[in-house]
Amino acid sequence: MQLYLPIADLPLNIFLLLAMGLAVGFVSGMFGVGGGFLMTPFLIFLGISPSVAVATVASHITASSFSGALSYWRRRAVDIQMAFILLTGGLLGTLSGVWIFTKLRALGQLDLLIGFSYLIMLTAIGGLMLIESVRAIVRVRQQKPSLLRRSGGHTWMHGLPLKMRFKRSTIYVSVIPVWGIGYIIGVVGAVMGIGGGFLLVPMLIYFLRMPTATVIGTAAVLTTATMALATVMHALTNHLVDAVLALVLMVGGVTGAQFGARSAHNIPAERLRFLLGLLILGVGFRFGYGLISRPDNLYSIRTLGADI
Amino acid sequence: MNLLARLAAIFVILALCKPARSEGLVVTVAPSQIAVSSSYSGGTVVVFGAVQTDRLPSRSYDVVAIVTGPRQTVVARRKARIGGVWINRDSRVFQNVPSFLGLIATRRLNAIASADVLRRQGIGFKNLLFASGIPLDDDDPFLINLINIRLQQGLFSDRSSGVTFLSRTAFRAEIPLPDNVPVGDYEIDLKLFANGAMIAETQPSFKVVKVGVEDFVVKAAANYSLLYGLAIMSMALSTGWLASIAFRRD
Repeated sequence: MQLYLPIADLPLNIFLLLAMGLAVGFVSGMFGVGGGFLMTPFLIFLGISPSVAVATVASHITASSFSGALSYWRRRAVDIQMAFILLTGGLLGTLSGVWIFTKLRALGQLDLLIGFSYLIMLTAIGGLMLIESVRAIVRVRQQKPSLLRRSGGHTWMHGLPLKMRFKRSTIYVSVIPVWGIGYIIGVVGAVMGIGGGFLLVPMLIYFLRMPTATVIGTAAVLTTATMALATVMHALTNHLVDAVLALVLMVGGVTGAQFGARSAHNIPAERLRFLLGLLILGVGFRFGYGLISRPDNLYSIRTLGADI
Repeated sequence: MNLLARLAAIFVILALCKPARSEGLVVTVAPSQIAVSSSYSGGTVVVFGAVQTDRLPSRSYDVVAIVTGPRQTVVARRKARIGGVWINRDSRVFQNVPSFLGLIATRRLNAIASADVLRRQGIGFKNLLFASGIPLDDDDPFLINLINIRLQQGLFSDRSSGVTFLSRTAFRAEIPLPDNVPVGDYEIDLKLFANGAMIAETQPSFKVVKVGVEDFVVKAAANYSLLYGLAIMSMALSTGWLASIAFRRD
């Protein structure tokens, strides 16, 4: 059954879209990430313009991360104080991100930026995750204790001023790197059409030494807020959010996420990270290939506006 | 003798021209409005027409129809390899480019009229684009690729079929519209040919409009963008909330 998408201006099969929402939702529920890094490329692959894909996926991530945030909230696994400070940086980052997006779109280099950021971000994070998880798997095999949180393990970031005590997460850290992380996630999310969960979670763990118990729930709260703002900003500045597409993706996404979260219980954490790393790396390589291989058609056209 | 022959020739020419002046076209377009709803996946506009003539039709006719969609400003970009990466480098802006251009006819264009006549009538993509003020340069790769991409998208089409004569004077022209058809006002330029010359023309029109939810969404997104954004945000939040309630296990 074909469904005509009013803003994307093309009809797509509704079952295909629902299935995609379910599949991406499954992955996002399984790994505790928004899944935007998969959804945006999928939509572009289906023929939706990158700008509409990025803008619409923002609303899809809002839905899936909000559903995640609520369940973590009930389990008291959200550090609201941390989320709030991340948010002050994150909202500023989202505003800059949407601004960059608009400028680059006018310059005609948006596809390049999206391709490049995906390549760098995904290969770096995917690679790091893969290495870390292989080490963890080896440690588990050799029955050594986990090294994820070393007590007293400080980075240079812990030497910065404006220190603050985060009770729920039991850490004492400067707010400057917290703002910085929030800002980066905001920019990246708005430009790339991803929630940045797969980026935020490792950053909070490795840079701030946040415990895993609160990190995913806190990340979900931040993602909900930045993506909700990104949705409104994209709608306001670029008029590119497709309501019909968004609704179909959301319904599939939130449903899939529940099944994903359930099946994640049966798989050891380090193996999950290994699988996610592999997936992220794969998508990253695909983007890299797209940038360096000669395109089928060197020419592209874009409508600037209607003439009377 | 010489004079007689000339007179005879003039008489013959006049005899041939006379019916040409009295021939006209009567057409009707159905539907006059194509509605793009949520189930839209392409459509067809049919033009029924008749050649009006005050005497018995003695010759065979040809019909060419040019369908033009709303005009746009379009930028064509060319990628170049810089530092091993393909990026958009050069570009050219074209104004007044029809968003849709369909050409249908009874048979191959060069069988209907000579290239010269076709050019004067503005038939064919390049001739049409030239007629709308786009500089015509056979070597312009941007223009050639613009046409090629539009052809691939199905927004430009050039077919030597689509018009069939049902009798000697009645014809039926079928204009297929792709699923990505732009909304707006469309003009059909119908030209009647006989013996390689154009003898009548008429310009019926039709509209492509978004209706229902599609229309509402597009208008809301354009005119009430803040409200629209907030509405989608609330939709996302409530979907997330509903999911967390529906699948709650504690």
